[in-house]
Amino acid sequence: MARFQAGETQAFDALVRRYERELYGYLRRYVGDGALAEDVFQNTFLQLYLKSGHYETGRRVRPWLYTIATHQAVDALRRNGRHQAVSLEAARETADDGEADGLSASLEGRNPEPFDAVSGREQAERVRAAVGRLPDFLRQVLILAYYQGLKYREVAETLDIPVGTVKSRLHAALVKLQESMAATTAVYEA
Amino acid sequence: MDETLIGYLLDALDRDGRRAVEAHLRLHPESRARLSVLRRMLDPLADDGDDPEPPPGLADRTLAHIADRRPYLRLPGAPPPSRRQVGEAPRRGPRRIDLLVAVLALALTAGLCMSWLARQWHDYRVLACQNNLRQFWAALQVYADGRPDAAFPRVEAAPPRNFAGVFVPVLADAGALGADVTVSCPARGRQAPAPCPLADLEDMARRRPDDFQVLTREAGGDYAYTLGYRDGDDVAGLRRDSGDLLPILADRPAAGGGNGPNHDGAGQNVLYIGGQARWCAGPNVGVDRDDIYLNLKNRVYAGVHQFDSVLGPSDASPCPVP
Repeated sequence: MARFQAGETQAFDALVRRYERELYGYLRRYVGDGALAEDVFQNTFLQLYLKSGHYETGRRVRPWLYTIATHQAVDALRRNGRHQAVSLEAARETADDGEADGLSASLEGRNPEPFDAVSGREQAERVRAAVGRLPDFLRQVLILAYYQGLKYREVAETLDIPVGTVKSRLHAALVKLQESMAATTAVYEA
Repeated sequence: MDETLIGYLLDALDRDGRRAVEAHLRLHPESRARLSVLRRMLDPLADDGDDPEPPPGLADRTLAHIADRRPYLRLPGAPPPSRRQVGEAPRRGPRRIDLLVAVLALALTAGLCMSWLARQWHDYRVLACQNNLRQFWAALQVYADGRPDAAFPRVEAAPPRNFAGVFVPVLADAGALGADVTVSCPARGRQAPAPCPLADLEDMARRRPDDFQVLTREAGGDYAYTLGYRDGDDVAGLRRDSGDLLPILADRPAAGGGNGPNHDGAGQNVLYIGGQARWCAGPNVGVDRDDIYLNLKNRVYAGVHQFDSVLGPSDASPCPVP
């Protein structure tokens, strides 16, 4: 980014190509639609291009890029009427009420066999569907931390939230994911 | 603790945090068991672990997307990628500086055009006025042809024919004034009143003096006619043989003298006995460059001799009215 800011125009080209696969993967998982993910991808780099003058040398590009991409994705989902307006309070209730008991219970009482009963492809689709049903603010953290491999600190920087919030959201996301998948397994078995 | 263990499993902790967890796990077997539980909880996510493939050419389309919008973007402090860099065709839209130059060029051209049009319009009005004066000249010739001394209409010293504008009803009464001749200068575009018959004029002077005063102001319209010159106690008029270079009719002067209002003060057209209608920028175009609107005594009365030309507006008299 610093090279581009210094006038090396090829650097921006290289930046787009370097993050093409990684960022598209994130957006594809987050917005759940290929065409929409592509639109958001393009707008993300358009925004990066516009904001390039504000880049501070030494700042890490990756979290910044994820921040822009997340904002663009949220806007796109809202425009498409797919944004889930779940409040933080609701999430906190979920975490507070269900965190210890729910997670412990679900983990301790978890029966892995139902997942083994379906094929890998079906399982992948069920996992994807379960992740897609998570509220936006939980899905963001889960995808960034698990699939994109960002550190807690980077997720916090990307979403502009404290690291502690990242941890609690990720925890809550796993609880809800577990519940969701257990429910679908029950339906499957029935 | 679960949150930290999850971070440990995801390798989401920093180096110090990771070391702390490893140290903790070595000392706490229950945490190791918990770690296993959490790992099993995360395992299903791996079933969808393959990164979605980006559609072919996504990077190229993205760079083109940016290039398409580049003419409308403000890039603070950094140069944009070149169009060659992103594989795009040369710029299609104009730059802001191009638009500015185009607007300035248009404004300059419009200004020049307006100036040229104004000059053309002025010239057109001068020519139209000159043509009207030539119509008067033809009428004056017709009138003079009917007179044994070839005299033009004379402004008399005594009422009621003692005002310059009387030449119009005199010409009309003699049948010399054509239908297309007007006492309104074409440059002003006013509606000219119809000439008053001489018989009515004389009757009006006797019975309706106020109307007569109005008539004296309007009969000559926008023009000034020769007041003649003093010949003893009388006033003599000009004749065809008085001299071709003597002015006989012109645009009327301003109220205080000088260039009149017909052509916005820029000058006046002057008709000479010889038939010339000339555009003159100033009033000093008489014989020996005398002022055609004043006699040699600087008065708006008849000239002190034949070559002292004085053209008076419609209500001007050749000598003081008793």
